[in-house]
Amino acid sequence: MEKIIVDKISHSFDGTTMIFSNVSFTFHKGSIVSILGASGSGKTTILQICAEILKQTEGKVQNSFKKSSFVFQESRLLPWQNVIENISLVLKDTLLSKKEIIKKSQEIALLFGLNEEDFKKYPKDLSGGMKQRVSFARALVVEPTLLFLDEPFSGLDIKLKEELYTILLKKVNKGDLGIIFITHDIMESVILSDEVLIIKIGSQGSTITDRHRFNLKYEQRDNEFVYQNMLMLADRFKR
Amino acid sequence: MGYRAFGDLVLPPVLDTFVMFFLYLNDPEVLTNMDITMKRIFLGLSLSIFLASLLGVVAGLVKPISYMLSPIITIMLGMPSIAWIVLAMIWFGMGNSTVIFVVFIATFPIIFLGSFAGMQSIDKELLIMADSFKLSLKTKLLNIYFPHIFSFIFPAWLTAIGLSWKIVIMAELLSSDDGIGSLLAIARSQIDTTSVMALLMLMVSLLIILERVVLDSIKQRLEAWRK
Repeated sequence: MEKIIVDKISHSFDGTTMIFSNVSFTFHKGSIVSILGASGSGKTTILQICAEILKQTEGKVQNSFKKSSFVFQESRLLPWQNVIENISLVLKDTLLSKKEIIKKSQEIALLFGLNEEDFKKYPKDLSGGMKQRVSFARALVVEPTLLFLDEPFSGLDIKLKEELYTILLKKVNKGDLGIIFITHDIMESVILSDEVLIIKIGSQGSTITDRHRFNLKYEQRDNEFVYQNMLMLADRFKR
Repeated sequence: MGYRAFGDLVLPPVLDTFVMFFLYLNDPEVLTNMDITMKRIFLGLSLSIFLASLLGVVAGLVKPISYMLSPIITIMLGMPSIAWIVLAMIWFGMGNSTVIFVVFIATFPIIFLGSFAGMQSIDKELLIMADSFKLSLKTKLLNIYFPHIFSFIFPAWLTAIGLSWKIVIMAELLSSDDGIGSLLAIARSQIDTTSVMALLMLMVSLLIILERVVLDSIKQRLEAWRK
């Protein structure tokens, strides 16, 4: 089973002030964990360390996932490349032929609700929601088994959010994908996670102060469930 | 006007200049010399465009190299071109290599700085994105660095081309017995203002053609995404 074990990691950018310390969690493929915390609590840094973009100051991260990818809060598309070029960028280092790369990119673009007439558009001609669709398509075209999400849903309308949730949950339910995502939106964590880690800012930097596991399947989570658990989490978040 | 006021020694009649210009276009001697000058510009510039752009990219990627190069570039920028000509004449003697060297050395710092500034202004968030997908250096260079630095390096190339046009004439005038610059030197010694004007017209029209026809189309193609 592909998994990631985060063992007591701490990080400091300047060597004196800790951004966070003593953060530990374990995470398996086929599940979703959300890290819930206020802005400035070092969530993004934790995620970037898990994704090996940054190196932690202390602690260990064991990652046995074969392929991971990242979706950011902003779409981070290359302004000089069109939709398909932006998606296919991340396949350039693979052994696939040019034709296969284009074909895969087009298929995934369609899956994420982009139309064929959008394929040749440059990012500046796309709306915020469309850009984020492209960003998701780019992350999933590499067929990751682990997906890092850095608040990619903030600023999107509810309809698009739900559309994206559905696509992601389908992959997770099939057991093909695990997701670690960070958010400050409590509702998002209730809808979209097996386990919520609550991170709070303390004197030694931030750390995980509380965690909660939801046992109900995603498709069984109705409004009532979401509402109840939001209240519960909000209460624990304030404590 | 100038011709009326000061006579044809100072400013030749416009018509005479045009006639001379068209005569030159059919004069094999002038054309051979033009060919020589263009080849010198081409060699000096290509060398400088290639090396300076490349070095700018390397300096942008590797910090220590940029620290090492920065004083050298400042010195190169501060050196008057005429001083390079003098030095080059001493080092290489009269002729081809002196002219090519001066074109190269005068345009080098401008192109380097364009390329380096482009590398430094690159969006760090795009690089983090590239790292999160573990893209290879080659893919990053071709898809992120090069397209980005183009908008910095291209104006630098244009400036360098304009500069090379001036430098080559100066270098040839002082240190060479062929090329347009040396024709200019002969025209000067014969106080033949019409020829001087016609030769200048020749050089400037060549620059205009190059800029408008060749370079503009390259720019249009590579910057289509901005429209």
